[in-house]
Order: sequence, then C-alpha cells, then structure tokens
Amino acid sequence: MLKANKLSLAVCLLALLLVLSACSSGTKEQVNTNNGVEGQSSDKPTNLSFELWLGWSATINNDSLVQKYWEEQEPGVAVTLEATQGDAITALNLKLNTGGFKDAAVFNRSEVVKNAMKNSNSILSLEQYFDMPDQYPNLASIPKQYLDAMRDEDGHIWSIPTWFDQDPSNPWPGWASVTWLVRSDLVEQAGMKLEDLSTIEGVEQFLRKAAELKDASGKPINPMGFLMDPNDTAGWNDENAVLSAFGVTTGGAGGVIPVEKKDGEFVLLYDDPQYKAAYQWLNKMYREKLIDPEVVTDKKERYKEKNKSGRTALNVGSFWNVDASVWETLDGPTEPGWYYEPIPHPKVEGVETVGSNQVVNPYPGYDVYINKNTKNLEAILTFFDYSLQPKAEQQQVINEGPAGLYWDWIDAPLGKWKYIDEQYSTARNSGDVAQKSTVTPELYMISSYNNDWYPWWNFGEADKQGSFKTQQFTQAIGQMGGVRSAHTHDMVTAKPGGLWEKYAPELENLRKEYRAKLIMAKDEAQFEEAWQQFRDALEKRAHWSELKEEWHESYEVLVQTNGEF
Amino acid sequence: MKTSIQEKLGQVIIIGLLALLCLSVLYPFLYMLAISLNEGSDAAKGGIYIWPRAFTLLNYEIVLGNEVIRHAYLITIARTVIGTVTGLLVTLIAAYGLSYRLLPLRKVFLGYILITMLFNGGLVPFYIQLYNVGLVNTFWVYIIPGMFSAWNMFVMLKFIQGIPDALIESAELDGASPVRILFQIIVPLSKPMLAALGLFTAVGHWNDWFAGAFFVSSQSLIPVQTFLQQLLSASDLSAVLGSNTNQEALARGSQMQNITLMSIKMAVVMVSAIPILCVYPFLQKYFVKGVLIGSVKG
Repeated sequence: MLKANKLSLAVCLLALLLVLSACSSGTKEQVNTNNGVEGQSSDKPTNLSFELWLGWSATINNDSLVQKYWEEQEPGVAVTLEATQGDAITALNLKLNTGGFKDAAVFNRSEVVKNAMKNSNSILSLEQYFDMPDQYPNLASIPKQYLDAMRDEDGHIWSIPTWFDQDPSNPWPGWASVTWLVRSDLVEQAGMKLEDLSTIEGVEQFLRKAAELKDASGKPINPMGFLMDPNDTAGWNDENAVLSAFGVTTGGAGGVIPVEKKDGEFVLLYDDPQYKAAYQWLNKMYREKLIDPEVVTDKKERYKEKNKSGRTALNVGSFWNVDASVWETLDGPTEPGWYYEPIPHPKVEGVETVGSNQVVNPYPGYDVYINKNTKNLEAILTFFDYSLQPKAEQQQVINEGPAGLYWDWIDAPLGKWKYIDEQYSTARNSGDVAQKSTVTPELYMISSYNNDWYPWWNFGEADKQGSFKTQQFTQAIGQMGGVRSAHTHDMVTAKPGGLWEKYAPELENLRKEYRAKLIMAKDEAQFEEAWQQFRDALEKRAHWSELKEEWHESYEVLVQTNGEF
Repeated sequence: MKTSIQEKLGQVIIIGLLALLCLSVLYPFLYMLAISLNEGSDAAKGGIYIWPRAFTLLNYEIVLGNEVIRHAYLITIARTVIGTVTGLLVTLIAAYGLSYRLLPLRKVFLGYILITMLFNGGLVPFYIQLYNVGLVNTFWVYIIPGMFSAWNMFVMLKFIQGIPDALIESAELDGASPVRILFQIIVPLSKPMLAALGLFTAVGHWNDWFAGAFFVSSQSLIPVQTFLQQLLSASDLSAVLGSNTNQEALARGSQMQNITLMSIKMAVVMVSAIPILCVYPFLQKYFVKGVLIGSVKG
C-alpha cells in the first residue's frame, strides 16, 4: 500500500515535470516562441545580431519569416525581439534598475521615457552617426529638422528617430476619419441630394425629414448620432466633427491643448467663441429631437449596433466609431451600411475656414535607444540604416518583406499590391496573434513613410467590395479641409512640474462633465446657465487663466529651441 | 427549544439580508455568463439580464481557439498546482521545525520571519533580487518567490502546537524520525488546515496577473489572468484577433460581425474564473473547519 502510494506520488511528480517542460519551451508545432533574452534565435551562425526590446505588449516569435529574411538576406542582421507584458513605463523602470536592456530598445516618443533613459546614464549619444553618409547613408538622410529638434542643451542626440515623414514639406495626411457620414439612401428617401447638405441649414432640413422616416423594422430613424465615449479626449471625440464645421480647431500634434492662430492671436480651445456656438447648435438639435436621445448614455457597442441595423441617418465624428465593418463586410447594397458617404463639413455662416480636427505631425513617433555598453553597435546601426531607407514602400518592406517575396505589386511599383505566398497570407490574416507572429513581428514603426504611397490604401485584394470603401473614405476626408500640417503651437507640451501637469486631468473632467449638460439643456436659458457654470469651473477648478499663461511661456521656450513654423 | 416571535423575526431579517448579499454577489456573475453565451451584436442592444437571448458558443470558440489563451491556461494550471504543492510543503516543513520549543534560536527565527511579513522593500528591490538570482523571464519566477509564506507558516505553527505533545512524544519513543512524524502524524491531523491554506494559495496563484505582467517578457510565459488584464484594457478586438487594420480582421469571415469586444471579454472572464470555482465544493468540508483555525485557543 505504502509502495503503491509512493509510486503514484512519483508518477504525479513526473507528470508535473513534463508539463513544466512543455510550458517553458512552448508547443513547437504551433507556437515556437523564444524568450530571446540570451543568444540568437537561428541555428545558422551570423556575424551581426542584437536584441531589440519593444516598449509595448506583443506576441513575439523570433523565428518569424520576416526576421529570417533580415538575418539571411538583407541586411544580414539577426534581430531578437523581446516585449513587455504590462505597463511599459513600469517595465522600463524595472529594467533600468537592473542594468537596462542589453542592446537597443524602441519606444513611442515620450518625454517621460526620454528623461528616464537619460537619467539612467545607460544610453549612448548618437549624433555622430547621423553624419556618416559613407557608412550609414540612410541615417544621414534623416531630415535635419527632426534631428535638430532632438538635440539637448549639450548638442547630444540620444536616440534614433523612426516613424517619421520622409518629406516634411509634403506630409502624408494619415488616416483622416472625422467627418459627417450620411446615409445616401435616406437622403434620397427624404427627397434631397447630397449637395443639399453643403450648408448647415441644409443638414437641419435633412434631419427634420429623416425624423419622419422609419427603418426596415418599422422603428423611427434617429436623424443624427455620435458617440460620447467616456474614454475619448479633447483631441479625439466625435463632437469634433461639428466643432470643425464651426471653425474650431480640435487637433494637436502632441500639445497639451488644441490651439489655433486667429487674427494673429493664439486661441486655446475653450476660449474659441465658436466652441460655444457649436454646442448651442447641438443643443438646438437635441431639443428638436433631431439627435438620438440616448446619445449621452450609449456605450460604444450600443452605438455600433444602432449603425449596423440602420437606425441612424447621419453620423458625425470618426468613421472608426461607426465601425467600418458595417460596410467592409458587404459586397453590394445588401444592408444599410453600404449607403454611408462622407460629405464635406457643412458651411456655417460666418465661418471662413473649417477647424482642423487632425494635425499632421511629420515628426518622429518612435525612438530607438542604444545601451552604451552594447557589444553589437555595428549590428544595430546597420539594421536601422536599412530600415530607414527613404523609400515610400520601405514600411511595407520592413513589415512584410521585400516585393516579390511574400507580396508583390499587382500592376506597377507604388500601385496596388497583394500577397503572393498562400502560406504567408493565411497565417498573416488568420486573425490569431500567435499565427501572425510566425510570419511577421509587424515592426513597420521602425521605418518611415511618405505621401507617395501608403500600403493600406493600396491593398488590391479583398473578399468584399465594401472593404475598399474605407480607403476611399479616408482619402476623401483628408481633402475636406479638416487636416493640416503641424505648427509650433500644436506641439507645446506640459512643463515638468508645472500647472498643466497638475490641472490637465481636471480640465478633461470638466469637458466631459459639461458637454452632456450643454447638449441636454432644456432651453436657451438653461444652456447659458450651464455655459456660465462651465466657464466658472474652468477658472476655479482648472485654473484656466494660469494655464494659458504657462502655455504662452512654454510656447516661447519651444520657439527658442525649435524655431517657429 | 421554543423561539420567541422576536427571535423568529430576527432570523427572517438575517436570512433576508444574507440572501440579498448572496444575490448581489451572484448576479454580476450570472450577467457575465449570460453575455458570454449571447451573440455579441445582440447583447449590445441591451435587455439581457440572466438568460442569453441569442445563444451562441462562438465567443468561447474564439477564446479557446486562441493559441495565446490556451498556452496561458497551461501556465496558470501548472503554476497553481506546482506552486500550491511546493508552497504548502516548504511552509509546513518550516512550521514543523519551528514548532519544536527546544529549537535553538527559535525566537530569533520567528522574529526575523515576522519582520519580513510586516515590511518589504517594494517592487524595484524585489525585481532586482529576482533578476540577480536569474528568475526573471522564467517559469520559476511564479513558484520560487511564493514557496514560503510567513502568514501561512504562523497559522500552521499554531495548528501544530495545538496537536497534543503526548502524541508526538509517543511516536518519538517508538523510534519515529521527525520526517516520519511530520508525514504520518502531523499531516493527517492537519488536513482541514492544509486544505484551507492550500485553497487560499491556489486561488492566489490562479488570480495573480502581476508577476506575468512585470517579471516575464515572453508571451509564452504569461498566465491567463495577465492576458485577461491586457484584454480588459484593449480598446478593440486586435488584442484577440491580432489585426492592425480592419481589412485584416475581415479576413476571418462574416461571423466576426456578431462578436464584440465585450462578449469576448466576458467569455475570457468566465474561462478564467470557472475552473477555480469548481474546486471549492470539493474542499468545502475542510474549508469550514479550516477557517476556524486559530480562533479557539487550547
């Protein structure tokens, strides 16, 4: 009996040991992951290799096809990736306290990260490597304005910038998505044309007619809808489409608050008189029951469900919130989603220029830091010199390999493209992060881009015709006046330890608290009361005047460092 | 014994309050279960309270079909089993040793252990320690640091001291070694205590997401709770579906129209909570006895 118990205990322990081995090494036939902390991932000897730590969560498979290409073909560097699984800043703090990362680390551009890296005294200054055109021609070709903006007071540059626009004078407008998205079928049912909605009065007329219509299941149509997401921000929310039409700038380029220069003066967001006018219009529409009565309380998924079932005639805001799958899954006009069309911001009397809801910031979005004790500096510089080749398609090459390997042009270079390798394409688009990681680590952000060509606006293959609509929408919206290039005043950040750091969260709380009150005010008197309360609260709770003063001071400092543009 | 009307009324009120408390704990769970078993797009319409309206197992298919989750499950199960067994074993051995009143420097050891229970150096020193001993980014980072629990040790010590000394002395007189006494006398008598502490330890291992978030970097080593934490802070389905553009997400076919991030989150919550809940009924008889440990002196 005792022997039997001991035997069964031994068997259990052995089983546990086997399970443990399986856990540590992974299931090789499906997910062959390598933690990549020590050594190289390939069996073949390579001369150049380094470890790159990603400052975000990612599924890593260091035997991916694209990484194999980097190692075996071009640029002949084995890159071993490591990611974080929790909060990146905490992980950075922990890493820096234990000697830092081994070779290189890439992070979203952030003052916090930059200061932490500098203060750790563990990173290498890199300014000399941007001046070696014979050895690193592509590092030398990084636009000088980006590098000059990165120099500290001693002239050092502490990172390699990536994910920037190769031609800052002609920047890529990005995924413009904030628009007035109307159901063309309902415009027709209302007896109107899209051109009739070119003025705000025309939109109001359409909304009144739409209010009398019914959807396919007999329920009344919501004339206008948008998402009031509790997680949105001043620079990213659906009401910005209306604010744009009223001439209010809501976009920024990393600055603490949206600002526009009007008549030679800087007007911060909440001081723009048109901000009030825009909310007055929304309130008027709400009182006339021309806005979905549940607009203030609907969560994202409820909003998407209403759009999918065709309950709304006009959506204002980002089409991503409407949910692009509403049209992307269609092959023809089989559901209401097919009929969505973006229209230009309607003309409001007295407004000469549409407010910018998207500011194109060509400046780098990511930084690569290098450990000063790395033994693989040559490998790191060679690799990033490769990834930063100033070609329009380079981001695609880094992400999916070169043309002709796993993807290729359909007609001509810089035109439409498609996947040509069935196995690659299946894993890539399987929808399973583990499968996708076996083919590519998706590191497009260590490259750069330009306006000549963007891969996801030129993807030539799709199961459904509707999937091309998103590309068409975003390109059209980019031309509707709501997108402009960044100026110095868009990039004013918070002074460390200053008032913006302290009161910016409260400012955001006030915006969210009062937007609902302004929209839902029962009459004009109540609207005025809510507006006055909002202005009082801005001063009392968010110290608005002091914030503006600090903004101007910070702006002057920024102009002295970077110049005015 | 006859109970007065007041006592009966008191009992009714108490039962009522406890029933309400029970419902308030149970209902969110039922709600999440209903949402996880309902089509995502239908659930977004609202109106689902206890039963799913448009029943589907698609959410679970996606969750359980996700390679990352399956692997994370394996990690969670392994660390729970190994961590609980080793944790109880190591702590029990320490408690048994310290239960000997004649052990030299016993009070010093107990004082030292008490200090470590009351104070700790914080996250950064702990991480430095793990890094220096080479545990960072290994499976053992889940097991070794948690092998000894000061709190559990004190509870076990108290329980062992409650076992009559005569029992242990008679075994010693019969020639039993301390190891034999531990496993053949102490352990059988300590089943309620071990079951209760084992359950607390197992639940602690099962629910821990922090170690997976900061002490490992490889996704093949994260437990299911760390994945759930990543998913709960995701703003769209790309964390599960692994797509960075809508075109890629659509490659999965038309069924994807009916799933939403909320329904997937609920399914992951169920998948991570139900297994450990199933363990409770098996340990209930020990659990009831075990919670009274240390409450009665003598």
